[in-house]
Amino acid sequence: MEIHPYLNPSHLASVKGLQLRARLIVEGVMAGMHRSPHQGFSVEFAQHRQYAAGDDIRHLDWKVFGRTDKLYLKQYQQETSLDLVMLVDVSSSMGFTSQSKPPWCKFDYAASLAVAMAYLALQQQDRVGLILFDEHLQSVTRQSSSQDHWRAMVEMLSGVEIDRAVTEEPAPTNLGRVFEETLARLTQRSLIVLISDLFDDPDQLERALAQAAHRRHDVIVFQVLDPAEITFPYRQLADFVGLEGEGKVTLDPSALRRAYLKSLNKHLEKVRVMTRRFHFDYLKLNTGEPLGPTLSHFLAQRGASLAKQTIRR
Amino acid sequence: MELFSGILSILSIVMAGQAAGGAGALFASGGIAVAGILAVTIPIAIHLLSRLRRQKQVWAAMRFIREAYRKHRKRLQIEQWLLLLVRCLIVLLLGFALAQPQSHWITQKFHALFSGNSGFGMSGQRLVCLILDDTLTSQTQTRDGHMRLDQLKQQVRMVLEQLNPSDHLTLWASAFPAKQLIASGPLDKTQVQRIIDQLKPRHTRSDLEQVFEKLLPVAQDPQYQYWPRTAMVFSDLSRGSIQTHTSAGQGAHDLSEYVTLSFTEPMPSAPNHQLVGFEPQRRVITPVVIPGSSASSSLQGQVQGSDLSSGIATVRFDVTLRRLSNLELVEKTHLAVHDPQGKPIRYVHEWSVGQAQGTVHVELPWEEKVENVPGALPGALPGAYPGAGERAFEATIQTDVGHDLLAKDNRRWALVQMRQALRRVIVDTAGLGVLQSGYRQADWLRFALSPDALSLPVDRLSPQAVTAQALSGADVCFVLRPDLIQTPQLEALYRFVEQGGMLWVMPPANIFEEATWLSVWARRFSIDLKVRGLPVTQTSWPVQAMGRPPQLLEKLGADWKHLLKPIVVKQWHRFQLRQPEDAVWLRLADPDGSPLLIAQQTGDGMVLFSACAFDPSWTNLPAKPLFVPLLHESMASFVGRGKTQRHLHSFAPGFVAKLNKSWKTGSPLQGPAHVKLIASGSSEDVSGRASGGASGGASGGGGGGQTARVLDRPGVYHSQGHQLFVNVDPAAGDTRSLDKNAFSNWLGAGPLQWIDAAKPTLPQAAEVDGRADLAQWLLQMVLGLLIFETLLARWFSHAKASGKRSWGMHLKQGLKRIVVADSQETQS
Repeated sequence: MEIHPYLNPSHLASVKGLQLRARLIVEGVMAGMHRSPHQGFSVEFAQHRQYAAGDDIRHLDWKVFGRTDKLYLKQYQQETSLDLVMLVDVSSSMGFTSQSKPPWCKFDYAASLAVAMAYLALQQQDRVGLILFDEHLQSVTRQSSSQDHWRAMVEMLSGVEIDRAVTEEPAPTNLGRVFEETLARLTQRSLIVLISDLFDDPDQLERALAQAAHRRHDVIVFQVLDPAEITFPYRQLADFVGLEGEGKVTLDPSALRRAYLKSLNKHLEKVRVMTRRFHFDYLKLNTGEPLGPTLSHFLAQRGASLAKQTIRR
Repeated sequence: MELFSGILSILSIVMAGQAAGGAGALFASGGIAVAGILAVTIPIAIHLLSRLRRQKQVWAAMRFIREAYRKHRKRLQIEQWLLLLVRCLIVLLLGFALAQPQSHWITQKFHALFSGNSGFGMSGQRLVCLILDDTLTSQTQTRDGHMRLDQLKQQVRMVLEQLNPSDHLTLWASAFPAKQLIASGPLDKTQVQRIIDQLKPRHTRSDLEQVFEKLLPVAQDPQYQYWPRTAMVFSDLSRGSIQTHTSAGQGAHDLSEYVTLSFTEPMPSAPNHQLVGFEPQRRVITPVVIPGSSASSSLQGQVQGSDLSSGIATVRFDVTLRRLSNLELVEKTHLAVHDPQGKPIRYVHEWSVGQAQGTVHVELPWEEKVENVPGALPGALPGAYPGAGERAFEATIQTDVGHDLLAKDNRRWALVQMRQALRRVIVDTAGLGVLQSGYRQADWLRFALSPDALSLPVDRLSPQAVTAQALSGADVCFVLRPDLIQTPQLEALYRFVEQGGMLWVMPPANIFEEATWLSVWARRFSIDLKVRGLPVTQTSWPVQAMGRPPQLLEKLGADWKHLLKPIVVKQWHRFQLRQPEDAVWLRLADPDGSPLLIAQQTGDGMVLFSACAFDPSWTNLPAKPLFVPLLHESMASFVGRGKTQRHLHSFAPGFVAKLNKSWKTGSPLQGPAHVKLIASGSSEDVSGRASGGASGGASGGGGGGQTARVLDRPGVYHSQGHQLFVNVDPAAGDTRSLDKNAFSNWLGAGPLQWIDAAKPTLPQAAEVDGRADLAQWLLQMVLGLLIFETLLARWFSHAKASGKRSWGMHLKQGLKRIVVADSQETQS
């Protein structure tokens, strides 16, 4: 079996056995992945509660009444037959990494995340589709819930080659157009997982999220960033060359550090606020940190949040 | 390019200033300054190299970099330039500080830059120190009939007109002792004018050294630290005023660090004839009594108890003249010597071509009554002793009109005392040591000291009876038994010598043993004299003349050789003296060269140690013709020489006069000036310096003596039967012009600034601070810039956010922990 370095950010190059690693991650996140805000075709008993005036008597458990002369309502947990669509950014900026050993770029991290998410969904018999994009949609897989489909997605991700060198024809991101094309392909409400560094115009992202929200899709936004992009640790005078054809800037990074971080954080905050405005989930990921614990924590949090919302309803 | 052209221009200025040297030099070490300027290129080169050797960094989040860069590009550029500038400045200032900048130049440039004026253009306050020369030569007449001091006063007035009311001024008179006429403070022109008008010349040389020393604290006063400070010396700069064989001392050099010193140019030489010396050959005269005369009879009567006698004597003076004029001229100087009654004896001295100094020997007959003054000699031996008669003699000179422009050095005084006899004391035991001849050593001495029946008898004391009181009033004391003198007696004899007595110590004639006593005597009188073993008796040696006789026996010079010829020494102690030759008075002619007689000056007196007893068993001297004149000439020549000895006081102007105890405290001194005697308070030397106060004098003091105030004016002063005289120092009256180079060397304070006599103006340079201070200031500035650069670089590079905590963060964290711990402790 082919070895993929996508499931352990810290020791990826030395890990062998993709399934095992994916499973490890999934076992850690299973508890949070059972709930979905989408109503499906099947229901599953959850618990009893005492009858209160006004409750729908259709849900009374007559067997219990017969045994105990007490009125209890049966409560059900809704399950979803989820359509998971994963949008993975393969633009040039995703090829950036500040880590030399192993050379763990943002796309590697994004691919690992996508594989894990797909594995989880397939374990729940949900349908999963994968879309790779930069300026346009680059590759699209069909949506399927078969186990073989996961392997196909892994191979597809493995086949992606991002030129980490500066090229004459860079591939910048255009999220607005990407979402437009993606939504046009979806026939039913889906959970869209966007995995990107989001170094795009925030207005584009807003337009994309607005479209998704309008069509009542759920969106999880994973923003993948390199540690160097977050801390900007450079001190020596250098020529900074953009990976997406932004040109070259000669500067003293230590002198500009504060301004850069301010600008970056402003952008990140804007993205976070934007996703919250549309009631979407957002997670900023650092490629220097292990994926498993972060993802586990995020999904648990999301599950709890969804449970609360359901009870409130 | 602009930067390099700027550096080149600075370099040219530095090099030009350095080449000019002196006041024009920017730095003490121009090379270091140039190196500092060139070192400015180091940070520039580092800056350029760092820009050339930059790395390439591919970057994804380029939009944020571009956004930040667009917003902060100008600020970044300014920061870089500012850092570069500070770094260059640090290197430059460090170089300048090490090169010791000359504050003179910088101050001048500063003033020129900010005031647009080459002089005192600043409207701020200034400190001006005016020093006016009121020395003896300032009394020299000019061709127009005025004094030099008047000219100097006029120049001071012209400078005063240029001062602002806000300026501070201090005024000094430079004649010895220096006087502060006005203390430093706000300028009051009316007061200054009045004091200048009232200033009279004094009779001493200049005391600029003291003025400089006393001005230094004023110049260093923090109040004037940033004021332009200048000191202007208005002097004729004659050789008499400034004595260039010494130096102006450290004070002048130190003062020049703070103050711009300027001087009037030396005035031209003026012709001057001086009375350099007026010295009696004998200061104490013993009168000649003519048999059968009234004087003789009265003298005999005095011996028998009368209170009055009289005598006739001839007083001889050596008068020394000097002329400070054209030596090619044949001139005449008229000399007049006045006896105590004012009767003159006139002489004319004709100067030959090339002659600068001449001596005239003057003889005056003097008849004087000699009184026995009761109480004048307290504690004297019974039998009374004749009193003293002191009289002042005066000598004046006069030359043709125009040949002598300074008159104050044409007059001198001398005091001569007439006494019936000198008081002589022999310390010996009675009735011991009858020798072969039947006479003891004391007898030989007594015969020699009183050769005729008219002479007063010689007093005799036993060794145990020697006390200070017993020796009071004695002139000469012969100790014939030094081996019997104990410590208290030795101390009394030492005091006797110190106060002007003449002590003659001889070995005991009748005791043939080692002179162990000599070591005690030598130690007390601080003379390195030793003797070992018994007296030498192997053979006799004839005493031969070795050169001229001692100074006190100069009158025997013509017959010296013949007088010595018959003297033979049979027995003597072999003295070993390790002191200079001048302590040896008379030397034996044996191969060893052992001294026969040793003299040591102690205080105002003299002690003589004889290696040979004046006894026929030791030498035939007592029986030879030399013996009588040897004793008498030694005594007569010595007595009266000491400065405080026997009331004959002579002083130079400007010093505090110390007088012996017979002068009564509180009694006034009558003379050219009225001075009251005050009690002594310190152990200052007789010629102690007077402190220069505006009051005109202060007290000095003397060991056990009385002290008069400063005697400024020459002349004779008297009080209750005592007299003293003050003569000007002839050297202070040297009216010849001083050479500028000699003056510069004397001053030793760098290049001089001269004041234009016709149009005196304040000097151009205004010292703001000392060189050392400026260098220190620059170093402090460098330190400050280093800290500033570190903070600046840290701030610009945003080191705080680099992941490493700044010291401020650490501090904050630490405080937070302390506060938390405290609160937890309180809660628990």
